[in-house]
Amino acid sequence: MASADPVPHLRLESIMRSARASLVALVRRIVDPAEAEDVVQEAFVRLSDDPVLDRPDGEVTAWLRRTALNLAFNRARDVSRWRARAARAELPEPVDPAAEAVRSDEKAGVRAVLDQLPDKQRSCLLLRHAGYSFAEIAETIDIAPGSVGTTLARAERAFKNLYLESHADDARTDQENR
Amino acid sequence: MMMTMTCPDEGTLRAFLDRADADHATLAAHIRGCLDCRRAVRELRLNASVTADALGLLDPVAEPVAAVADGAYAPIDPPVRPRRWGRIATGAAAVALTVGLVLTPTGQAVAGGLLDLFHSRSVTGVTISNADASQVATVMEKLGVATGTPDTAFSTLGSVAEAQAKVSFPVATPRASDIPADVATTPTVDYLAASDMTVTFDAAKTAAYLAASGSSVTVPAGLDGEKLVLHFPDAVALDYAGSNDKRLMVVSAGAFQASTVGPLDLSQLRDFLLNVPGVPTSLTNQLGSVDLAAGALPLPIPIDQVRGTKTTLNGHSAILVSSSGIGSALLWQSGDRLTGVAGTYSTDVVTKVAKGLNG
Repeated sequence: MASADPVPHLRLESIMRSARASLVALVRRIVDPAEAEDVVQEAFVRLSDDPVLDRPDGEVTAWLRRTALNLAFNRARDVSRWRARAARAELPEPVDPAAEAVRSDEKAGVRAVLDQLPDKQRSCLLLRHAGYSFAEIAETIDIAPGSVGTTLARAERAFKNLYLESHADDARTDQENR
Repeated sequence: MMMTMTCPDEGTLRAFLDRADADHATLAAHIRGCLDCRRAVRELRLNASVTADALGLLDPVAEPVAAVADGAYAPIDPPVRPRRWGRIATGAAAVALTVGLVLTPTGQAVAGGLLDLFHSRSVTGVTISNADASQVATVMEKLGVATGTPDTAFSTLGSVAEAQAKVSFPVATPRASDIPADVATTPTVDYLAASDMTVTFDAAKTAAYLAASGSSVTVPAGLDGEKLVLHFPDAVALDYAGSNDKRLMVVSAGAFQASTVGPLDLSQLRDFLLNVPGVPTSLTNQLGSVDLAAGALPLPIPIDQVRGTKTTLNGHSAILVSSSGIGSALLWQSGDRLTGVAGTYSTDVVTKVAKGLNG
């Protein structure tokens, strides 16, 4: 764990180089690839003004993950609101091949369920699924390392129940439409 | 010691599942001896598995690998569109799961006992979606009570020799020259103890389920109290890890065995189970054509994300599975050993490792 670099902008650059790829991979689960780049860029911009930049590397990357996740979730909500408006106004949607459309639909379903979870549970799920360790998750969502298991267990139970419920609803709708 | 240990809280059990707990061996020993904890772990594992399936949909998608050529399994009932929550977790998890399908019937004992009603001598492929596998497990719960959980807690040993001393089958090891350059040359050696799971059938419960389903299937005489005992073999996994999630795993396991205690024999039980409503027809159709008498292990291939192809390896029938952008795995049985090679590599690399195995 390196200590703060005496020249802040050099430190920022070095953090950007080392953290960018993993941050983009993380937020790509929440937003589209192009937006993921934007979100990460915005997180870096915010970092440049934030006092956390004087803290050790581990704390800075945890802060970046937290910020990028929040930004991505906010943006995903904006996008889904926009789509809902577009659908109401019957604006043409970009044409996707059928399979991709189904996949987008499924992704949207998963994200909608994630959106119903409390912030910490949602971030905990995404981070764990992206392969972050319990210690990294604790640091990112700012809870005690010993609480990660409990948060994860609660998050998975809540997610499963909401997710299966949403599919039961879909199945009923399918049935009614037949 | 393990009798006096207080039951760990839910968070500790969840950490245990991911091997993020402080004292894995002690906890594993406690869980093995504690019914409440085993139940809790089963529920946590199911929650984790459904969540991982769903979140897998959000994984960044890599470029698809070329389709597996000849004889790719076509699902009996090709889905018009992908199942919504029938996808397996991607990334390293998929590779682990592919191997796990052989070793650790994924917590809910994928398909309960249905797929393992015999002593395996060879492998054959049965395509199954995760949703269907979960459904089978759900149906099994309506028919009786399962006790014992297949042990899924690997313990890490110091060397291959130490692992070899614990198991009766020869532990397969890859030729040094076949190990990809981007993973460690020395593996982590993990050992999984053999375990049993027993399903005790309950005639009243079964009758109630059949009636509720409007089924004309009748409860076979003698079903009440009949036990189906599934023996999950011990296994040794050599795990070669590298940077950027590169991974190669060579897994050796004993054979699956199943037996019954009660008036019904395995084939009678199987015939009944395949007719129980709720068991997906795509599965029963396929299982109906598997030669159980010859000891063919119907290996569930998760069709949602993995392609499976029948092939042969050093004269044994084998299953080659590959998954877009994730990796591939080869599984076969020779004698009483079930062997699997899986990795984040092409089928060529995995096949080369498999062909060159020692032991």
